[in-house]
Amino acid sequence: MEHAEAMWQGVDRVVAVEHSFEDFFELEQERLLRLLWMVTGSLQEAEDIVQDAFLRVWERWPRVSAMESPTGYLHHAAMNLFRNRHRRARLAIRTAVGADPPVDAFGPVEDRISVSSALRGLTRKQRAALVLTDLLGYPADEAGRMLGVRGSTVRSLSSSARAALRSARELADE
Amino acid sequence: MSDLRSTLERELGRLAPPRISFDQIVRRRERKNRQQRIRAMVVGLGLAIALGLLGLSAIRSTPRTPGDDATRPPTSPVLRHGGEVLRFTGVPWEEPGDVVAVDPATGETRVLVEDLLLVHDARWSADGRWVAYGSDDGPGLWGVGAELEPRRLLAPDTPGGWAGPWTWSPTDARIALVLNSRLTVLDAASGDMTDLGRVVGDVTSAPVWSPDGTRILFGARGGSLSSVDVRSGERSLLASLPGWNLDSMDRIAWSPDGAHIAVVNDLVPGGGRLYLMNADGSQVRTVVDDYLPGEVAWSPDGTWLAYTNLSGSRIWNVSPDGSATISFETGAAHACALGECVLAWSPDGSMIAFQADGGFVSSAFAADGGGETVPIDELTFLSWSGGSYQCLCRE
Repeated sequence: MEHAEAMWQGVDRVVAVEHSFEDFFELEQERLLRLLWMVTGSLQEAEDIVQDAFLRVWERWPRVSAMESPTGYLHHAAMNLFRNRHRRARLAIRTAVGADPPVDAFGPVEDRISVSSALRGLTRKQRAALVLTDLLGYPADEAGRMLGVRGSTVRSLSSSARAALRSARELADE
Repeated sequence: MSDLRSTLERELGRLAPPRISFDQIVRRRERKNRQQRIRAMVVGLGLAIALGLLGLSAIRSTPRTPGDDATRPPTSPVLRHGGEVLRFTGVPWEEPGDVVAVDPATGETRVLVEDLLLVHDARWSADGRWVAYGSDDGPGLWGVGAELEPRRLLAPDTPGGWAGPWTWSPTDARIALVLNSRLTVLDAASGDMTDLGRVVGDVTSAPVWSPDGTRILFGARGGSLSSVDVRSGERSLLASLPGWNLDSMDRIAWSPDGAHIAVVNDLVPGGGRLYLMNADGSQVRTVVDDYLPGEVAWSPDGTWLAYTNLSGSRIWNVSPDGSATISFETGAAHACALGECVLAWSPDGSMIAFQADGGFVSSAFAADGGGETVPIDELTFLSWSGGSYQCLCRE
């Protein structure tokens, strides 16, 4: 009887852990999708990354749920996926044409007098650095770990991104 | 909320993506599990065929020569054996692994810490008795000694985990770091912490020890370089970097002979400037302006400073007084931004190698620019760069 009770308690614990991941998903998914869409510029890519990131978190949920910040882990996982996709794309292009890839962009920038246009004009890494530091508030070193670069590189990326946004906002105010 | 953050939040709010349902995650997991089962079946089948063809009957572990363990005292307080280098056997964010010590000559591996999800960096103390590592498994800074019982040296300071840079003393088992805006020295052996006072300015550099372990430098945004005497806590402004548009101080590198200091400072709106000065802060001069910074590294005897460009395609060696400069092509084309690659000198100072973001560069280059190259394997490179592990997190 005691063994059966212990078994049911174990099942209850598993069920509780599963439900808490679903709660976590419902809480985080919309904002994460928006963030990745802003960074990648592509809704489809953002959806792919977000789903894979949640899947990774789910596979490790008993450990992740015990961390100080499961949301931080989720952001790490998402940025790692973003970075690996970005690197694969760069390597593929470099292999195909034998040259460095062009600067990432949504496409022809038609209207520079808007913040969203200025964001579109940034590289993906600049947008990622900006989102991680200025929007989500991660320190540069933490953001650097997510992007696989040093904090100094993140500061440099953020600095140039801010300068571009500053110009766009000044023009918009004129 | 800052003005920029408000702007970004507004832009974020304008995006209206369709909702992802939990069922989509469930289906993705089922698909992944199915693919893994198929892969496992294929691998198993292939292995069975291979074994059948080769007629192998067992898989053996590496035989140990009797007496191997007898050469290493089982209770030695020294953790590092010879010139062992640190590696993380997992795949960051994908597969857990161990922190291991690897003999670069034989490839023999010892497990120091088991089953970690991600290790950001792992470094030997100068006396070889400790490894300190940053991990998100129970976030914070951890240490392990010869007893192989990891213990947390420092709890996380910020949400999301430990984020601050830290550096081992070059002489003993103390660690310098900035904790809650205060310069702090942590003794890994005793756990004691010494508060050396509030840092000055918006500190952007990792704290850097002098080669004799008596002083610590840190740099702040805007180019101020401060020095603190570790014994007395006395602090001074070592130098204010000249030049306009100074942003964060990204890298401070003290020459091994203690005579000179190199500084890479970020600029507004981007790029960098490389400075050299005497160790007392005098004779500050600009080595490179409008520099797209790659990595910097002093020669073992402190007589040359090597630095790369952003692509790693060229290396320069400059003497501290500026009297001599050597430059040569590497033929490589890898991302080598500051912190994205590691530059290392051979112990005899004749060769330079680097590990870049785009991949491991398997040639070492003659430091005199003579054009000679020699092949180098990754373990040898790691032994040149001090035996530490840093997650460059490449695929």
